[in-house]
Amino acid sequence: MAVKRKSEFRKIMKKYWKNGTAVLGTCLLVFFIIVAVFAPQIAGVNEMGNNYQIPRVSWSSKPIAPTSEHPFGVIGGRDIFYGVVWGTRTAFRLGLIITGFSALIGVAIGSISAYFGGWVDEILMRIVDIFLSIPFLVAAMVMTTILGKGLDKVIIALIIFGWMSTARLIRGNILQAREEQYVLAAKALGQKDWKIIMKHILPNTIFPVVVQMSMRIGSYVITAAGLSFLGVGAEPGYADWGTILSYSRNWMTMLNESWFAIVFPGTAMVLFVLAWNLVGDALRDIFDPRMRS
Amino acid sequence: MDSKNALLQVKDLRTYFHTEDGIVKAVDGVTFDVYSGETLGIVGESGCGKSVTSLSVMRLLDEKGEIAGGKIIFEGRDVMAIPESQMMKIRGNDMAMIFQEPMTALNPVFTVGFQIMEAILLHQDVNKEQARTMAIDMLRKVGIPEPEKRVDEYPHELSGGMRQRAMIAMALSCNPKLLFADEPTTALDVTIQAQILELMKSLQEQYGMALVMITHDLGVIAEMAQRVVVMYAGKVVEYAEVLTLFKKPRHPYTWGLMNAIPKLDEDKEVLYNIPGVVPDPLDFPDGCRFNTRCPLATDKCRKEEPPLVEVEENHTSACWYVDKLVEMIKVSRAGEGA
Amino acid sequence: MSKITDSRLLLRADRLVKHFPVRAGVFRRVVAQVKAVDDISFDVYEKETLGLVGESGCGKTTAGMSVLRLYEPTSGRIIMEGEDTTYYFMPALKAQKYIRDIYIDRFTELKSKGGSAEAAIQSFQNDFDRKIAERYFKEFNEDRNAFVRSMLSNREEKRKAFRRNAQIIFQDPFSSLNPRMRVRNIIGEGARIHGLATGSDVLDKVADIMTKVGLSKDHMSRFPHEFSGGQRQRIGVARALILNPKLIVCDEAVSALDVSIQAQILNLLNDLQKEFGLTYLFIAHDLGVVKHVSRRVAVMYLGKVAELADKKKLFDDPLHPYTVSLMSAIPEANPEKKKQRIILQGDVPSPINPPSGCRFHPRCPIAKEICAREEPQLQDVGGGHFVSCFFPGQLKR
Repeated sequence: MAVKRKSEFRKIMKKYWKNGTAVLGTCLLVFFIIVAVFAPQIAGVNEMGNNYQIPRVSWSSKPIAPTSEHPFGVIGGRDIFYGVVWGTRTAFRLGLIITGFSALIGVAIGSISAYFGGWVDEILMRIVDIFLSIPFLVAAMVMTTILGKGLDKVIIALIIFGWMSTARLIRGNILQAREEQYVLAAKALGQKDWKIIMKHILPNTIFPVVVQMSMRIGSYVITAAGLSFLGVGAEPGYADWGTILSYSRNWMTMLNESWFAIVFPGTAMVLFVLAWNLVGDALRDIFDPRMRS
Repeated sequence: MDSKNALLQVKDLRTYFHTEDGIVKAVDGVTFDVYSGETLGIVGESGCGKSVTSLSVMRLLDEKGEIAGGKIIFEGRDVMAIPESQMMKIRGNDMAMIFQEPMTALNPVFTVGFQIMEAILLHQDVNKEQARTMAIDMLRKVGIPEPEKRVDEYPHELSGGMRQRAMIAMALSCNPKLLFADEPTTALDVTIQAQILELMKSLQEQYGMALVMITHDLGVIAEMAQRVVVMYAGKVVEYAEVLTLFKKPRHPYTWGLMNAIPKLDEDKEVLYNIPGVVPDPLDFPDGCRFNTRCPLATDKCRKEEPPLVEVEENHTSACWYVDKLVEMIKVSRAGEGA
Repeated sequence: MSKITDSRLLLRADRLVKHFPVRAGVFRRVVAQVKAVDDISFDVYEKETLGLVGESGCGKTTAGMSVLRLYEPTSGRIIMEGEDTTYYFMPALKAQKYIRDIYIDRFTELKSKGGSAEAAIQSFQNDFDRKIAERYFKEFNEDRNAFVRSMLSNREEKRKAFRRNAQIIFQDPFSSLNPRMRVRNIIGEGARIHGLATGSDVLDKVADIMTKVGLSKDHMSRFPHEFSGGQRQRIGVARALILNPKLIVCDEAVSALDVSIQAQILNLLNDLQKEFGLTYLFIAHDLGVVKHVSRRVAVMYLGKVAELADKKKLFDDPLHPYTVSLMSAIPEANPEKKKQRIILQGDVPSPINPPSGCRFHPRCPIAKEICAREEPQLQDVGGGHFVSCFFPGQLKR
């Protein structure tokens, strides 16, 4: 029996490793995790105190091209290499917290909506519609303007406007799973309603959400960077890829002097998004029971 | 019968599917003939290769499937040697097919009439007006009421039985010589099934086409077929005329199958059941493929594969122990009589 | 209905109705009702099999689901082992109203009509209602609130007991098992819910049941997709059986299986019935299968029972034209018997808007003018052979 289980797991893993894009995604993700974990070793620490504050290396705001001391160059007096490396931590924090909480809210609202149905469902889904009808970026900008500057405010804004698609997804999945005969069977056994949800419905509906979540971690980082770029995100000097990009805003017309302030954090962002998307794709395959049989 | 006159000859057909888990020998040495105007039944349980056989003859296999051996001769031509461009003309015009689930075989975004007209226009030299008239005619022939109205309806507006009729109309619109019907009534209710079977019989008489009826239902076989191929695990296990087959089954699988169905005209406390399950197509047993479920199986069956041999005229069976089976049937029939 | 057997009545479906609302528009207004089950009654006796047969859309599955309260019936009563179980699964207020409407108000009316409580009690033909009336008048002295309270007491236990006693086996061996649960948990779930075993005893019980239904207990840690269709159906049987129920509703339990596997499951169900004294409500569209398993058979058409009789009577001497046509439509595995068929014209009408009068009349070969006008009632034509037709036995095979 144990052998059988193990071989099944191995079969999945074998298929996983055969899938080139999945391997690429995983490697990229591992790379980012290593960078985030070993940020102090890679880029050093800020001796002035807060490590998430990029140390000033120059009082001039002019960009300085990459040198051996500042391999990614300097902009706004800040070391880009330090910013990109420590920014990896920020990216993970942003992505995981926003996705985690918005998924939590989405799952809760979606489940309640699907479970109770009727007017509860009707009201909750209309609320979802209202939230969805507001352009996401505009809403987030307004929120951060109201709440004030800072990364934590960005996170709150993005959570408030990020839960709706999860709610819809989980509601649809639950409505579908509710019709499955095994749910009726559990009901016929006399299982309690909440246990039917926990044991039979959620395990069969949560996996698409996990896949969706992993794909969105990357995109939230982009959105947050967008807000920072527009000046309503993290405060200046914060180790965040968007913040570095926002420094380059003033040098847009002189790309030959400031390209490195766009290319390095930009590449980091693109690769980060790519990593999560590829991993999400791979997860979708793994969670599909058909892949196992 | 002389197989030279056959409309379709299938000789030792082998169709393999290359899957990630290995080679699935879905059809592994199947031989039969189909004559003009007759109905050949192919019967077997799911996974026996009966549908794949018809898809192979029509050359409609997906990219994973491959005809690995054997010959398919249609009207004296080697089907495997016909280029795809000509094959497209043959399909629909000379051979046609109807499926179990008409909803998936009909395109939901086009009207029924449009789809029939498309088939007509593709194969016949007529203009649109004529094609439309022919389509309405065809719908009338398959017993669809108000064909002038129905011709402009979409598949979802028709009931299951009507959809199946529409598909038959489409398949017959070019007057094919050979029609494959793959479980055409399995998804339908009994009273609707009766309508469709009756319709197919009368259309066959009218058009004189040959019909290959693929089904798991021995009742439908008894009703429709003149000759029957019984398939098990990709092989033909028995091949006989229908009366002979039901009266004198000469393969333990056929016999088991017949006794496993609850019949309306007899009362039995316990049904005969064929023990075990159909073997995994990736890992068929050595020797006779039925040996894992056969009450007569011996070491010989587990080692050597029985050839399909004639047990009497026009009746072949692939079993090492036909004599023993005959004895067993005698005993069990005597037991039932007592 | 008259008693046709000595064995005890286990289940009575009394004027069962289940309508599904069809909603449309922005405000999800009810625009129509699908009359899936429309006033049907049947009895199931202990240790027998009642077959419920009919074509798709006839309401047979809905009837089974309503009996088990997997669908809440629109009206009618489900009486199990002499207890009215109808209100067990209703919300409390609805249950109170049900008891008032069905019992108290009726009793009060009968009393005022008959003049005395005794007259009201005696006016009931069936034992079941008479017993309740006796309780109401004698035990509770017409104290409405006390009566309602007593009926509504211990509803949680009553529900649990009902669930234990009445189980179901589904058609689809794929969608009826949770793909993410191991077989030991699928089968053991019921035992845990009802506290039939705890801890590792559950596994012993699961192993025991698995052996009984012909599965290897070594496979209990597997997931459903590792089993074949027939084995999965056995898992479904084991899940129901572990509660040691009295009644099992078999909803097309063998329809999705291959012929050889179907025979295995039918034999298994037969063996289990004998061993555990089970009662089956066997729902199927295949007359051959129904004939094989049932002692009595009810034929349904478009939400109504067309005919109900002992198996032998029904198959030897079908009286309803629908039953006759249905039997004649089945292709039999006997090429020598080329029978003259009665081919019914047209399709089954929609249950949203069923035909007037007898629902079968638009397709009936012997329909007369009265059939479109009046609805025939299900009547006993002798010896427990019920038929709802104005011209029973006139259509011959």
